[in-house]
Order: sequence, then C-alpha cells, then structure tokens
Amino acid sequence: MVGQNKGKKRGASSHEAPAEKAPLFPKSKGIDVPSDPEYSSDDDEEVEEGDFDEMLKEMANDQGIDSDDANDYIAGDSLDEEEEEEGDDESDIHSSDIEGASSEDGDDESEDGEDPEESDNEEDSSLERVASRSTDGQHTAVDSQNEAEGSGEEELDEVNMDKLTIRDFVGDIQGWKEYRKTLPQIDAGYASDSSTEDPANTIGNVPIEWYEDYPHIGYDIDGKRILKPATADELDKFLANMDDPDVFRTARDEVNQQDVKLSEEEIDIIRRIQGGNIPDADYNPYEETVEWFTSKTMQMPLSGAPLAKRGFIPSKWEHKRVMKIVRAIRQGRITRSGAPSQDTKPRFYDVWEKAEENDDDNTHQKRMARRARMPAPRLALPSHDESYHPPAEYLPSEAERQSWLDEDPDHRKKNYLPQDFGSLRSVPGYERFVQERFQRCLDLYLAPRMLKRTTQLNAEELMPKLPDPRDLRPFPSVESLVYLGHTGRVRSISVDPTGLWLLSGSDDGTVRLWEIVSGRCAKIWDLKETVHMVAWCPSADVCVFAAAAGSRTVIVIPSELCDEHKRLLSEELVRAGFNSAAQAEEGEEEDDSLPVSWDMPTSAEQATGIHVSVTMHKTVKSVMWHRRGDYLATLTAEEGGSSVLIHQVSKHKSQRPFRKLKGAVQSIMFHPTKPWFLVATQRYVRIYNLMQQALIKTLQPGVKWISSIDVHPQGDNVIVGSYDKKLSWFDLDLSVKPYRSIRYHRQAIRQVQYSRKFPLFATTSDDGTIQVYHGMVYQDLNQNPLIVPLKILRGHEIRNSLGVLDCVFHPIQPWLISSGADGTIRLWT
Amino acid sequence: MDSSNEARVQIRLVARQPKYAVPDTSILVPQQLQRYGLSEIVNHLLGNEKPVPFDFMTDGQFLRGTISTYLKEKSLSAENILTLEYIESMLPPTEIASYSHDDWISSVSAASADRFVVGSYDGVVRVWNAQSECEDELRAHESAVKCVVAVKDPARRSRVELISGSQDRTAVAWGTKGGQRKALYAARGHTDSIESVAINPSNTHFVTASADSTIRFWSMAVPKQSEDSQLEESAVSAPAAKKRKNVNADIMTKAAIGTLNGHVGPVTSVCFNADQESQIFSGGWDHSVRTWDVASGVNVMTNLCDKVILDIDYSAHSRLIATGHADRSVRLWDPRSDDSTVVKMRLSSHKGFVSSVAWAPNSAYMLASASHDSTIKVWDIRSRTPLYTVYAASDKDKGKKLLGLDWHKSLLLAGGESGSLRIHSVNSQYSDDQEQTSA
Repeated sequence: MVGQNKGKKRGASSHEAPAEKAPLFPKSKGIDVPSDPEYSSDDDEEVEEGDFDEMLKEMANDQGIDSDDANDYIAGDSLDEEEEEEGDDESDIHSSDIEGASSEDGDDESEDGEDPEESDNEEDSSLERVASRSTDGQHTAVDSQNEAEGSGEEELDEVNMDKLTIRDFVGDIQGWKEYRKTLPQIDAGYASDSSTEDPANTIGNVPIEWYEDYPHIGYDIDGKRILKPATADELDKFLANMDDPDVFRTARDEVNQQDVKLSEEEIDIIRRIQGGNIPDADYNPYEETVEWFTSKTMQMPLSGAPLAKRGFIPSKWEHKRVMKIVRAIRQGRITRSGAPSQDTKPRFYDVWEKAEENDDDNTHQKRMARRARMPAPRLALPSHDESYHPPAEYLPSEAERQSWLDEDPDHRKKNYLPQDFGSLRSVPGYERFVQERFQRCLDLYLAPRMLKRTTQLNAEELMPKLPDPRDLRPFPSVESLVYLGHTGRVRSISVDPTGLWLLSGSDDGTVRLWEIVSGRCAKIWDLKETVHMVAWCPSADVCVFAAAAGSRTVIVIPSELCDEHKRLLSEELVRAGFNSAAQAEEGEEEDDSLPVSWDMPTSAEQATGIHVSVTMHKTVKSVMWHRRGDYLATLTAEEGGSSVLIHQVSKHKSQRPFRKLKGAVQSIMFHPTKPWFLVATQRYVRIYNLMQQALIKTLQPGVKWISSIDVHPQGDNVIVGSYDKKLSWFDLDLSVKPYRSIRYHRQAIRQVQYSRKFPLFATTSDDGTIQVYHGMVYQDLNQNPLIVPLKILRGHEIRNSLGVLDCVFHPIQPWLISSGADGTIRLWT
Repeated sequence: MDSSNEARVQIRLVARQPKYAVPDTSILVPQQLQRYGLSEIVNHLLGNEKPVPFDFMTDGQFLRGTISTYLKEKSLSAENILTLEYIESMLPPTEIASYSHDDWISSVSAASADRFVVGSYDGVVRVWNAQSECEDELRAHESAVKCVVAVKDPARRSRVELISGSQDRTAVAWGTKGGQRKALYAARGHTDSIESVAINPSNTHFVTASADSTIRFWSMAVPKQSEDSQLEESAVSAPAAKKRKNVNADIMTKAAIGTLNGHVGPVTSVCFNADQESQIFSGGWDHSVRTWDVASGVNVMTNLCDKVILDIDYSAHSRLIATGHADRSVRLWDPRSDDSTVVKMRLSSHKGFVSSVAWAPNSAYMLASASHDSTIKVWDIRSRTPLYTVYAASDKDKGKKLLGLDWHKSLLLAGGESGSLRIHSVNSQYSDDQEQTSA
C-alpha cells in the first residue's frame, strides 16, 4: 500500500512537477524512478528529509499559511497534539477556515475515512460533495494521497480558473507535502535566495521613499552614511537609454541603488504575470490525467488488495474544507485578488468616441476639421436684475410681471423675474438650478457646433485697384476765377502758348481776350457773327490767333501782347500771303471750285489787329492749327469733301484734302507729332496721312454720334467724346476698338481735352459738369494707359439744356479753363 | 449757471509791454474764459477805467477760443499753471477812405502817409493825397499798368518819386520836373509785361520782374541821354514806332544793368532784401522762390513749392518771406534756413487767389494779404488764424477781386477790380514791438 502510494505519488508529481521549476527538483537518490524521463535532469544535490521540513515551513509562511497548519499536512500523525495550539492567527482566511474545519470535526482527515458516522454525514450532504468535487478539479491526484481513492473526478472547471488563489494555495501546499517525501533537499545557497546575498544597503526593509530627499541611503557599520551612487541627470539618462539596446529590460533596484538587467526568462515571467498566466512557461495546466485508479476492473490490477471504502466514498474532510471556502466566498470574505481592479473613476459616455471610425467619408480633412473642437459658448455673466437685491429700476412692474407670466415659458426672453429678497439670508434655494445645469450640460455635451467659413466678398475688393486721387495731384479741383462779360454762349476758348492770355469766342459775336490770372478782359473784338471757334497759333515765335465767325475765319494779331520783334514776325507770317496770292493770280488760275476767298479786312478791322479774313461758303464750325503754326484746317457745316479745308497762312492758299467724305464731319484735328490728320464723322474717326494721301486707320468707338476728339500729346492715344455720353480711349498701337469706354456723364459730352503738360484729361458735358481724369500714358509699350477718374467740377449753369461747351487745359499749370452756355468762363485750379 | 461745476485753471499773466505789467501771481480762472474775459481780468487788475483790449499768447501762439480748448489741443493738464503773455491787441482795421477809379486798380503804393500812388488797368498812374484829391494822372503807358512802387523817402539822392511797370513792357520812372510830375525815363528791354517793380532801400536801384521770365536790374539815376539799346531794332520797326502814342515815344529810354535769367515761367513778383541790398527775392509761375545776388547776377538759392506764386514780400523784422499763392494760401519762408524746411508756415483762410501780401513795416509778426475773394486779412504769424478779416465795406466792392495791397505805417491800402482804393487805418501794437526790439 505504501509502495503503491509512493508510486502513485511519484506519478502524480511527475505530472504536477512542471508547476514548480523543473530544475528545482534534483534527481532523487533513494526513491528514484530511473525510467521517468522527467527526472533525468542532472542535478546532483541532495535534500535531507529533516531540512526539508524546515524549508517547507518557511515556504508555507511565505504563502501566508500558518506553519502549524502546514504541519498538519506534513505530519498527519502529529496533528492532534498541535491542533490545540492553533487559532492565534485569525486574520488569515485560508488557515482559519481550514482550522475551523478541522476543529469542528475534532478529527483528522485520515480518521474521517475510517469513521462510519462521518461517512454517513457525508452521504447526507452529497450535494455539497458534488460541489466540492467540481471545485477540486486537477488536484484529485493529490487528494488521493490522503484518501487513497476517489481520484476519478478531475474535470476542469471554469470556476477553478477564476479562483486561482484558492487553487494555488491548496495545490502548492499539497504539492509541497508530496515533494517533502519524494525530492531531495534543495541547496540553500541558491542564487535566487536573497537572504544569502550581501545587501549593499543597510536600511533594512523600510520604504525607500524615506531616503528620497537624502544624498545617502543607510549607514554602514561605523555609523557613517552610505552615499547614493552618483546618478546621471535626465538628459544623460535619456542619451544612455537611446544608446543602450537593453533599456527595456533594465529595472532600477532602488534599495541597492543599481540597475538590474533582467534575463530573458525573467522578462518572460513578468510578461506572464502581467498577462494573468502562470509564471512558469513549462507548466501545462491542462495536462491529460493518467487514470491510475479507474472504476474499471483491470485484468492486471496494480494492487491485489480489494478497494478500500474510502476509495469510492467522497472525502468528507475535503468536502468540508471546500464548503468552508465556498461559504467564505459566498460571504465575500474571499475575493479574487488576482482579478483586475475595478476602475473607480466615473466613466462618461463619449458620444463622438466612435464617430471617426463610423464615418464613411473619413477623409483626412474632415477628421482634422472635426478635431478642431470649438469651445462652448460661455455663460453670460449675471446682470443686475439677477441680483437677489436688484436696484429698483430692475424690478418688474405689475404689468410686466403679468405679461411675463402670460407669456409662453418657451418664448420668454428671460426665464426668471427679478426679485428683491432684501437680504442674502432670505434668498431661497433656486428651484431651477438643476434644470438649468442640466440644460447647460446638454448644451455642452450634445450641441453640435461648427465653424462657418463663408467667403467675404466686398464690393470694394472687386473694384479694380486704382490709385488714390490724392496721390495723383496736381489736378484742377476748385473754381478760382470766373471770367464774366460774354452775353451769349461761350462756344470756344483757347489759351495762348505762354499761358498768360485766354481767348474766348461767343454767340454774342465777340472774341474776348482775358488775362488769366486776374480775370481782366483786356480786349474785345466784335466780329458781329457767332464765333464758333477761336484758336491760338501754337507757334511760340508768333502771336496770332484765328477765329471762326460765321462763314469767315479771321486771323488776328493781338499787338498789345507781343513785343516788336514778335509782332513783326507775326505780321510777316500773316500778311506775306497777300503778295504771293497776287503773284499766283497773275501766274495761274486758282481752282475755282474751292469755296474760299482770302481777303484783306477793312481798315477799321485792321486797326483792331484783324489782318486776314478767309471767307467760305458755309458756316465755319471749327478751326485747327497745325503745330508748326503755318497750316490751318477749317471745318464748315456742309456735307462732302469740301467741308474740310486746309489753309496755308503764309501763302494764303487753301486746298481740299478730301474729294469725298462720307457723312457729316464732326471734328477735325492735326496729329501732334505725325503728319496725320484726324477726321471724325458721326460714327468713325478716320486717320489720314497727309503726306501719302492715304487712310491709315479707322477708329470705331461704337458710339452713335461723335462730338469731339483729342489726341494725346505723345500721339499714340486718342480720346473720343460722343453725344451719347460715352468717352472712348483708343490706343492707336493697340486696336481700332476702344481700349476703354467710360460713361460717367449724364448728358452728352461736348468736349474732350488732354492736358499738354500733365497726365490729365477732361470731358465737359451738357449736364453742367466737367470730369477730370488722370490719364497716364507710359513710355513702356507693355504697360497700358492708366485712367483714373479724379474730380467732377460743378459750377456751370445749364442753359437750354446746354452745359459746358468747351474746356482747355492751361499749357503750364495744372489748371483747367472751361466755358459754358451760361456765358461764363471758369478757371479751375 | 452753476459756477462750482466749471473747470478752472491757474494762470499766470505776464505783460509784454511794461506799462501793462500786473503783479506776478497765479490766479484761478474758469477754463471757459476766452480772450475777452481774460482781457477784462487784466483791465481789472490794472484798474483801467477805459478798458484796453489785450491779446493773449501761450507758447508763442495766440490764444484763440477758450482756455480749455487750448489745453485739450495741446493735451496739457489743467493742474499746471498756464503762463499767458498778453499784449495790447490790435484794433480791427477801419476803412477811412475810398477813392474811386474808372478802371481796375492793379497796384497800390503809399509814398507817405498822405500820398498814394495807384496803378490802373487803363494805363494811368494816379497820385492821390490824403484829402481825397487826385494830384496827378500820369499817362505814358500804352496798356495796363501792372505795378507801381513809390519811393518811400524821396529826399535821398533821387528825383524819382515812383516807378510804374506796365503790360506795354516798359517801366516808367516818374519825378517832379519843373514843378510837375513827368516821366523821367522809360526802362525798356523786357519782352513781355512787367509784373513787378521793387526799389532797393537806399533808393539807388530798382528791379523789374516780367512775364518774359526775366528779372532786370536798373539804376535809378536819370540818364543824360537815351540809352537806347534797341536802336537798330526800333529802326527796323520804324512804321510800327510811328504808330506809338507820342507820349511814350519821347521819353528817354533806360537800359538795364543786368538781366537775371533763371525762372522758367512768368516772374510775378520781386522784392529786395531790406537787410542786404544786393539780394533780391523773386517768385513766379514756375513755383519757385529764388534768391538772387544782383551784383553778380547769380541765382543764390531756389526754393520750390508746388503752387503759383503771385506776390512776394520780405520783412526786415522777422526776416521772413511771405508769398501769396494761387492755392489761396500765404506761405512764410525762411530764406536763411536750408532748403529742407523752407516753408515755415502756411496760412490759409482766403477763398481765392492771394494776389498781394504786405508785411507790416514795423512789426515782426504782422502781415496783411489781399485776395480775389475781396477781403484783406491781417495776420499775426503767431497764430494760424487771421487776426482780422476786412470785408469790402461798400456794395460796389463786394465780390470784386483785390489785386494790390500796401501797408504804410498805420495805413493799409488796397485796390482791385472795383476800382476803389480802400484806405484802412490799422492801429496795432507794432510800435510797441518796435520799442521793445530797439530797447
């Protein structure tokens, strides 16, 4: 029986051994079973039986089991004597339970088997037995050592897995009991035994935090401080960590103040412990059971003895012990210490936790947008009327209170009525507090917020970027002088090349000469007929002007304005033609078809300075000088080619440049730099080359009725004003279509005019205004002209729906002079 | 009105003129006080039976408006003591006479307190006395007289009493010859209208500025015979010369000593540096104020602004040039300073071209300007606002341009489009200033 038991025991241990470290159990000398491969490890150490007892006690102590209790299992026969000494350590659940169980019975478990009364009791509580059996599980083999039977039930149960601690201590202790008898003694000098090591510090088992703030740790035998080894600062540590490949397996031993590098096995054990597994890698908890003792009758039984009763009767003792534990568990005295601790912090449900994964279109951009959380709007600070004692003006009147009460609660502007409690003491609890907090929380928690990104488009941004008119000074902006005297419309004005004198021609039949700066009318020529046009000769050498009055064009020398030298030159220019004309008449016959006669004016007229009179058949509408001051172009009010004539003043000759002209000519002009001649008909502006007698180009302003044209002094740009309110700017190099069309006037444009010196141009209109523009033409051909409207000058009165008829820029100053249907001439500076 | 609510400020009154000195203590006055109230306080302190009007200055500037507005403007604390200097204020100019002319007056000049010279657009130079009698009508110019200047102190070595410049390109010097004023000589040489004439302080030379963009420098002395430099030319233009009015033809011709070329547009005005006889200042349409050394004929300095200069005047007392501009403003220039900050001050209050400016003859601060808006404004350059604006008194003058202005002692003469010579009497503290500067 004993031998059998021993054999059984060894067999069981051979299966359970992996629970302990295999090398821990050296090869046994005496009771060795050489055939067992698991014990073929070459460990020669011997374990003495007596020593083992001591060791077992120690280990049981470590396990939290009372050494006396352990003795129960170790030496079954000595239990009786020692049982009276127990019961001192009640704090330990396991031991007390077990003890209690045994004291209750007053019996050893070995006696249980023999006690028939007990067995009867057992049968009564068969239900409990089943439960105990099921809780036992894998340890049936160990139990069989005590009971020598009933080893059949070894089914695994989840309960077992959950109750690791229970099982562990039961298993361990029973295992140890077994080893005691089978295994040799373990060498005490084993490396894992920390008691054999010489500790570096002497502080004992005290919390290491006590020495946190000190430079030393403990004292040596002489009472001197043991200084902590120098530690690197964080940066050095970090750098060292970066270099060290073993950093992950390095742990700091605070007690000994040193780094311990863990071995692979140790790390593995840590991992297993962390994972809630059995630390030993080799331990297989689910090993197959070897059924040494079965219910089946073997042909060759291991033992010839008949089966003992206890072999097939469940152990009452075991059942009691198990029930103790079960009761303790039920009462909550035993907890699953190994189970993961409950998170005590309150957890909130995050609505948006899974939002990102669940979103279908989970683009990066959207995710980023979602992450940019917007802060919730702040609560408004309490105002005066929320005070417990608000000023009287905040308290509602009875009518207000009634209207507040009558209002739907959802529509109330504020959900409270200001109340006066007099003192803080008498303020009751706020009944809506919870509700409002809840609403606020709801708002914070659930209210979806999003940033609205709308593109702000200002009308100003869409406007073209133009310089500020203030930066484009000087330009005429205020009315400085009014030249009064004319009694009719002033149709035309002209400034002499020096810029001192102004000529004006009017419907009252007079041409007046004005001193610009003082506004003094220096001279009046009465030409009896409507003066359509006056024009100074642009030549600086002479002092001559031409005036178109009726069908007559007179050429005048205002002798007061020029010195002797200039006067002589002018007279020579103007009068020399009489001689040549006389010669020509003698020589060859003039082309009679030309409707022109050059006449000597009357002596009365000559005294006033009128030297030549050129008479045509029709009313002369326009007179234009060539820039050299010798040629004069006239435009008469008739259709056809003879409306435009070019006269040579010095020779008193006239010629007709165009045999045929389509449409009524509105305006004519010499080009300021090239030998070109511009003729504006109703719809088109044609540019002719007078030298080559050819049409160069036809400008198409796209207007219905051209009123006036002017050419930029540099010659590459033309502005065209029209009666249909439109101003067109042509770049002659660019196109025959307008570079820019401007329609700012409310009435027909009468005159357009460039400044000869400043980058300015002006338009006059029947709406009584003059509009001044900045018109910069760049030398760089790639840069388009810059046109900026600068100023609207108002001052002229509208008479018979005629406004400002003519304007002219001062040749030297940034001044503009305009004349209107109201008979005034105005100087704008 | 609750006086306790009024803000108050401590002031200390300092007299410029010793005869008006008050005890040097600070007094607490309401901040709402203006010049009049302060003047009352001073009169009270002085115990004057007949109140004397005073003007108050802080920091070299006249106090205009209330004290509180001044403090606000300068962002000064009302806690500190404000020092106010005061001087007897100038009485507004009063029109004492108006001499009527048929045509526009282009220029006026006072020879003395009872003799005034008026140049008119009808080509006649008229000499008036204080008894509103036209002493002489001097006819020699073919066209409008643009400028006249009277010799202020005729006793000094010269028979010339006045010089007139005209659009007929001549300047005529007039003097008493045989008991009556006659044209002594005609300064010929300009090719365009003479716009301005100036006589040097010692009455030995004069300069003319012309629209032909030159300035010519002439001696005042009456030539023995006609220095006709254009003799050949006039021979060429013999038929034209015949046409001239004989009044002008038999006047002796005077030739210029020198011609100053430099302006690029018409020169509208010229004046002498009273401190330095060889230096003249000129201004013109080319927006420049030029300083010339007439002895060498060199353009010493050119200062530019961007507006047409219509008149220029130099004060020996303040050593500043005042210019009247077409942009309705009067500018003050310091001819001695470097070119960076030459425009010392810009006085703008006129509503038309400032056609003429005149410094007070004896004051470093007083200045008068006449404008096309028919007003004369009297300025104290310690204040940016005009001291007085003299409006046209008669309906005839209203809205008519003023073209000429002269300030002689306590008389302010102006004339213009209306043809009336307006004579104003100016009572000012300038004589006291004079005392002070001489003392």
